[in-house]
Amino acid sequence: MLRFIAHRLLQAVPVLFIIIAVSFFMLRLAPGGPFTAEKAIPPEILRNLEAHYGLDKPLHVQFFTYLGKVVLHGDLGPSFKYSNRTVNEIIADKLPVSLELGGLALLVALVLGLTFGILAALRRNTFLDYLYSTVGMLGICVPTFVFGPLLVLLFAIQLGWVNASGWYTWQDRVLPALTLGFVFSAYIMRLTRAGMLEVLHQDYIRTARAKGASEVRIVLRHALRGGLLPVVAFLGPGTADLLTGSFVIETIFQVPGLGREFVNSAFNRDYTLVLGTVILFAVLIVACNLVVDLVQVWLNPKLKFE
Amino acid sequence: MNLAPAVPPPSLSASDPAQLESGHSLWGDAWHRLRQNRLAVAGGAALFVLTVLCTSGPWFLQASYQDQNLDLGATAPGAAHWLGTDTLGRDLLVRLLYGGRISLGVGLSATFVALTIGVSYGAIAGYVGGKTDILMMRLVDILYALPFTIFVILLMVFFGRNIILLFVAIGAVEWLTMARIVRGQILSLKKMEFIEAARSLGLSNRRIIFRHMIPNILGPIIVYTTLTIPSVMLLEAFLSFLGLGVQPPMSSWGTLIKDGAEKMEEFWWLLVFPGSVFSLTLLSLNFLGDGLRDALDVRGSKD
Amino acid sequence: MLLPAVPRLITTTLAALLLVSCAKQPTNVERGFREQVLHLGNLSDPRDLDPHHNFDDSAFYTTMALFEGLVNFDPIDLHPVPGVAERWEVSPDGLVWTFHLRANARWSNGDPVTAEDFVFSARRMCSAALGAEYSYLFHVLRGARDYLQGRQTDFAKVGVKAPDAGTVRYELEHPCPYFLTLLAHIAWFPVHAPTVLKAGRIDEPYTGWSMPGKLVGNGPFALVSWRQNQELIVRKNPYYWDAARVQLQEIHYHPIESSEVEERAFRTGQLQLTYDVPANKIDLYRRTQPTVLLESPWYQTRFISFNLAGPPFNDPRVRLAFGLAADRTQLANFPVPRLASAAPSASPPGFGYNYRGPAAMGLDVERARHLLAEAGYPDGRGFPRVEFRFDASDRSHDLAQALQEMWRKNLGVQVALASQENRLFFTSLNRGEYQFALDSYFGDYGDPNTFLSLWLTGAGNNHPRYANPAYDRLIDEANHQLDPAHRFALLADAETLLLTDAPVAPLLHEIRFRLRHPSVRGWHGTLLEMHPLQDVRLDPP
Repeated sequence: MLRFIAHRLLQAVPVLFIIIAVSFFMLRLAPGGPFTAEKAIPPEILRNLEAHYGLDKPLHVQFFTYLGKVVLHGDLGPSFKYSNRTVNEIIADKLPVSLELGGLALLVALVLGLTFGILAALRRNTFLDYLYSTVGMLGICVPTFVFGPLLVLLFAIQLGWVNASGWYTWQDRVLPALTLGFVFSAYIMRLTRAGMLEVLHQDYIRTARAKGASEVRIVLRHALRGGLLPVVAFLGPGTADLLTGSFVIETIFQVPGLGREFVNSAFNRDYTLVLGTVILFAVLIVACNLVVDLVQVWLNPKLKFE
Repeated sequence: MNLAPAVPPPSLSASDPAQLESGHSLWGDAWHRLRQNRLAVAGGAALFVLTVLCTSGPWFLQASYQDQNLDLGATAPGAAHWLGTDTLGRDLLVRLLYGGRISLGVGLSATFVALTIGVSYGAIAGYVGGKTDILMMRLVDILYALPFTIFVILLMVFFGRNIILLFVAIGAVEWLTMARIVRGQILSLKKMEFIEAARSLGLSNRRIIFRHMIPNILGPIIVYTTLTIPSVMLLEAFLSFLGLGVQPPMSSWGTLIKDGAEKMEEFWWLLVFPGSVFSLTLLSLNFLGDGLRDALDVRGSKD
Repeated sequence: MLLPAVPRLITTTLAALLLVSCAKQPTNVERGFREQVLHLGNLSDPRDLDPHHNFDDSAFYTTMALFEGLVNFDPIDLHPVPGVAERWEVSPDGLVWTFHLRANARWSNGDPVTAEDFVFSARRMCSAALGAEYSYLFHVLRGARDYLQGRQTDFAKVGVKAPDAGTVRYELEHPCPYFLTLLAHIAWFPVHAPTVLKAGRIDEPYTGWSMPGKLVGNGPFALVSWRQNQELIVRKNPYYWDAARVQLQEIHYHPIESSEVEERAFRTGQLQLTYDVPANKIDLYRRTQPTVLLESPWYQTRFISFNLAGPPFNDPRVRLAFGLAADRTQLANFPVPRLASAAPSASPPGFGYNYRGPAAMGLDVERARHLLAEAGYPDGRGFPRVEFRFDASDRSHDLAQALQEMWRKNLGVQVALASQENRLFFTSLNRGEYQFALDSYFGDYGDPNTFLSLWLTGAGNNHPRYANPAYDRLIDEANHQLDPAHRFALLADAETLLLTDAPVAPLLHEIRFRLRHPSVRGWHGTLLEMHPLQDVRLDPP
């Protein structure tokens, strides 16, 4: 297994390199620069600003300079939009917020999603199953930009229990985590149900039943292992998504997380911040998918580490 | 504790492979079972009605999706406009029907693209394994991490605005998770005895993957497909707003919902009607999908 | 069996969580009167707090709290009032301005504000290496443009001097009746030389001197903390020369991008003042809480820019036809009444001066159709396929769709609409890669010149690439005119010429809307969106 992990970490090197390189050149191909604004900047000023950031050098020189700083010093460079901050500072400031929100949402999503997914599978094609499926589908059909404001209208404005937005007290965590978690739980619920159904009719489950194992034991010890495979595969990139923040949720609830930077940095052509967030995301993706592959082997011992 | 199946699934191992190839009885049975499932039938019927309404409905209505009445503005549902009007005084019913053409079209075809690529890609990676698998899955990681907004902007710059591009942009992101799910399932199937048996019978790899393995993992595939459709339809609204794809005054369900969400406290109908139609469509698809899955599941039907 | 109990468990937990959280705390608004703390919606975080590196609307508010120029704006009508300078005089030819600094003007670390600080700041703004976006506001200073563009390397030749520590003298290129309102612009604010130099060279951009813990300003407030995307906090500056007048103890700036989110925060008492109001909520507030809704005209114009480079818009008749076929009254009154005002001319009314642009552009369908027919497209027949560009905002989407329908009805021309991601949009306007587009500009200072100089030959924001020597000459003549009446007459001539050639077709002057809690006193809507904070206070309503 250690060999497997080592191999994967080795593979991560070219993966990260390709991601950085492709993103770098994609960014530079996009028209408009970090200093494009509604009012045009005088040309002599623009030239100087670009020179300050080294944007006047040939593209390949810029690329290797950037890469060198990232690899040798872990220096992601200064942000273009927040001129006095470095990308490292911005990520250090916002990642904890996104991790907290994403972690809470993941908890909500897993608890709701797994519970109702398993129940729906066990009660397949009964009223309860249809009810859970319908509520689950509604969770997917009602976009967060509708669901979030609805929660705010109800709990903050009508009932006055929490603030409409902000990220100061623990009460401020409730609505964003619920909104984000609810949508995610719908995905998990549907996938759990599907995965469980694949497994529940397999012979080893029948054998276990025939041996008189209790229902809870069958589900928890036998069926879940195979049934969770699709959820686990989904959770790889899904967790990386959750932990790096959500643009919509952070906008609706005024959360100072990373999700807004992912989207806004692209619109601002904040080259270094885009690359910095992409690198962070890529590392998380590689890590999460590695964990997923480990879990998949653990869930299905017949698989070998290849 | 060994939890791997001790016996291969009876349906496949016990039957003669040749019988599996005779699609008629398999599909015939499935069709029969599907028709028994009332929810699936209701879902299918609802989808059919919606599709017919959206494609042919606008022909019977006098108003066009772009006819405005700025003086009228947003009005609640009434006799003149059954579903009310939007802030530019346009009939919501008409815009909803036209929007259905775009959304059903984009939603279904982009999902189909994502489904095709994702399933074949994931299946091949999982089945072939080894270096190929590693290479293919690292490519998925790379594509997943690239900045999507920039990708969209580049598409716009280099190809102009074009509805085909919408499928490309959406298809390009939506297949990745599907591929991961399918690969995981294939990996776990690969080691099962009935697959080994099929291989020892000398069946071609393609036949083993598409005839023997994929039918066994249809459940997660169908479910993830029904989960992809709504996100595709909503993504379309975001891309259109940025200038890729459908341009105003043409409507889509995504743009109508986005518009309605901003005005839900003042003009509830702008959110409620598009939202309901959207949800109804997806619920129908969902029930149809569940029904399909059950119908195609040979094992489950024996219970 | 254990499992079915789980859903109930979850629901109970959630309900309990929410119930616990309803231990009600006082809102920001309620705390506000007691502690004189203002919570303000501010759209987005500024790029920098350095007054010389500010180009965003939202930066104006923070900068005006932290710094102060020689001249201040009156909080109601923005007429110039004494700031760091207690008095000033101007030479009879209008070219030399002398300012006398008040002796008690202090930086937030206690240092006196001196004339040298203003010379240092002017030199910094005029150093191209600094990359100051608003450096063009210094072009009026004698020799500044040459220095900026590298034709002059000796700053002593630039028209700013400090004869003694209490006197600043500016020499101008041409008489400039609006010079005082320029001085109140953040670009002319002073910076604290020792602080700037400690962090880097005078012309070195983004050295971090303007971050919390380092920034030294001379405004009514001093910087306390700044968390990106959460809040920026400033506190009353005890060294401010007029500190006795300042009532607020703290201001919290909340960078809330979405006006819907802002409005909800306002409703729950988290903000006393918003940056904007969602358009569709305006009517509701007008009917139910008119005292809360603050409506004020804005020094801004929305117009159509036509690309003069190619057919069909190289024909002035076609441009005029499209301009005349737009019903500005309707555009101004939807989706809610009085959302904007119709713009018959390019420069907005306002500022106490009696300049009025010619009312050249209004709805005239008959003439529009006639012009289009003259240009060879009777009833729009044979008109080529054209694409109307606009940025990715809800307002632009609405306006573009309304315009499209007006052109279809009034001219018989079916125009294709094309929304564009914002920076793509600005780039295509700058590069002239468009046919016609929904453009806009807000004035930098209170004079029609800020708008009319946009369309000078070769000007940076001249999107149509309009080049008419007669127009340039009129604007230049007006610039050398001391008599205001004569000057405005020349500007009006220029604008008439502009609207006859019609490289642009003015449409609307937008109106700014805000929600202002009744407890907020001394904050007014102003044309330039500049809001002096000295007189703002919070009283229980």
